Amino acid sequence: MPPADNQLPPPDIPNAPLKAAGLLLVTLLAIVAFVLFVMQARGVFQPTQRLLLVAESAEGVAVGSTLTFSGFAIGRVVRIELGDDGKAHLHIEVPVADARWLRTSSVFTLERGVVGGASLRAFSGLLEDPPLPDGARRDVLSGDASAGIPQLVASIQQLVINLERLTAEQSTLSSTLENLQKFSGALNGRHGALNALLGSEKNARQVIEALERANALLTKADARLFGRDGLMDKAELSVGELAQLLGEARNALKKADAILGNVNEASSDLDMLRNEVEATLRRVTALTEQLNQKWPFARERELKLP
Amino acid sequence: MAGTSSSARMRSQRWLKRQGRLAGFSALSVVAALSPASYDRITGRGLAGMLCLGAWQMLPGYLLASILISTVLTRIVAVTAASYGLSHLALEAIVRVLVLELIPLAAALFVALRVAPVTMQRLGRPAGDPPPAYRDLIPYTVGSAGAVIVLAVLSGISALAVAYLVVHGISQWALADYARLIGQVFDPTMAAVFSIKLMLFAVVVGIAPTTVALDAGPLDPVVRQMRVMARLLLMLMVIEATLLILPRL
Repeated sequence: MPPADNQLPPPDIPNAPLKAAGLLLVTLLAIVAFVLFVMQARGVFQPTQRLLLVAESAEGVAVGSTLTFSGFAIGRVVRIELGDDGKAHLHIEVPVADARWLRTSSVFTLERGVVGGASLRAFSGLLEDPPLPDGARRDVLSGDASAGIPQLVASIQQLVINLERLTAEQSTLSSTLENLQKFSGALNGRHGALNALLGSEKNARQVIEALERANALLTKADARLFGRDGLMDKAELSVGELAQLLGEARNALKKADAILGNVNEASSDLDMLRNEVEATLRRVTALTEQLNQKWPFARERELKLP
Repeated sequence: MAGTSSSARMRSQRWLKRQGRLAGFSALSVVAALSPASYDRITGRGLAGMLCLGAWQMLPGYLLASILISTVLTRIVAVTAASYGLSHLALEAIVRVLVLELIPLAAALFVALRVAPVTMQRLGRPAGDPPPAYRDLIPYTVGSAGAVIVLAVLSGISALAVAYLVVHGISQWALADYARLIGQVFDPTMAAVFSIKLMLFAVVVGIAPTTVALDAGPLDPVVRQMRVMARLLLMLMVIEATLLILPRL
């Protein structure tokens, strides 16, 4: 294409080369500074260690999502892949300076909110435990706020129905509240809680009268029991006499024991006497037989056959 | 009927031929701009003049406007997000919408409105005149393209600073979080898309006004310039839409 001579040159601006060079230099510096800033913000210049988190689902997690500890970002998801075990493998890069917050006992959670992406959180209960090694693999506990919403809605619906039933005019709660109101009214009445408990003022008055009678009776009983020459004093005297009587009875028993000893000895003499009597009787029997044999009117004892 | 269809075919053929010429012209302009041999002292002076026209003279006004719009938009988004309990998403939304999408487009449009009339006035020629050499177009193409990049970069960085100040105030304690957020937004994919978008905007704003040199003919110069501007706007929209859709495919 041949050059044309009829066209106008570009506008002539004073010190244009200088201004243009300055502009380009500033822009170039700004671009370089911004690129370095972004690289630093992405942790390119920081030494990092790897952590593999295994989750049931990677839904809501994106490359670049942060892993937080106590609300502070300490790591970043650099890769997400579907593992051979069918689970989501989240590769996390944690700067070595921040890795001290992760311990072998740390727990990792993946929480999905209703709005926004999922949040990965680390919890380290025991900071004295050994630090998490580089390349460690941990399972993630999942919490899904939106997953429970249908169930929650169903429960709330049931709850509302129950509430309606409870607060209906003819409901048990309503009648209970009415009774409670009556009860509280009775509580504030003349005889207070007694009236409320017994149902009527007449019953309450009877109970109060009965209590008064019982009080009077107790006063009298106290006087009779514990007063001077009361039942208790007499009982004490009786107990003393009883002790004396018991002593006498003990002596009487001792004497009876002695008499029994004498009786025992007498019974042994009786045996001897009895033997002598028996011998005498035997001799008398023999003498009688001899007399019978010698007696002339002795009968003959013979057996005559027909 | 046959006459109508043949005329439509002819029109479409003519349209295709014109688009082919435009594509070839654009490609050769890019090649010329990338060839070190194209640059000499006169070209450099012209380029500096166009850069000053598109960027230096525009910079104060454009920076002021972008800071003002950034402040207002950031405030609106931050307050709206806070009222819905989504404050943690506000800054990311601002950075994505403002810095990645609106500011490059606004910079391209500002530079186009500033340099295109001058370019078209200088390069327009009556019918029968020979078109200008590619080397003569370099100050206009490269100068305008450079102006787009300068304005987009400087106003983008100022918008990032304004967004931080509006949301966190003059406090250094949220800087680490903000840096992490910017690092998260400018991941390798998004950084590449942003760079490509900026480059394409610059190329379109640089080349589109120079295509007036191809349209020598009986047309009224004003109509010719309007066609060039419409072509420029269409190309900007096509690039914006393509780069919005492509990363999500």
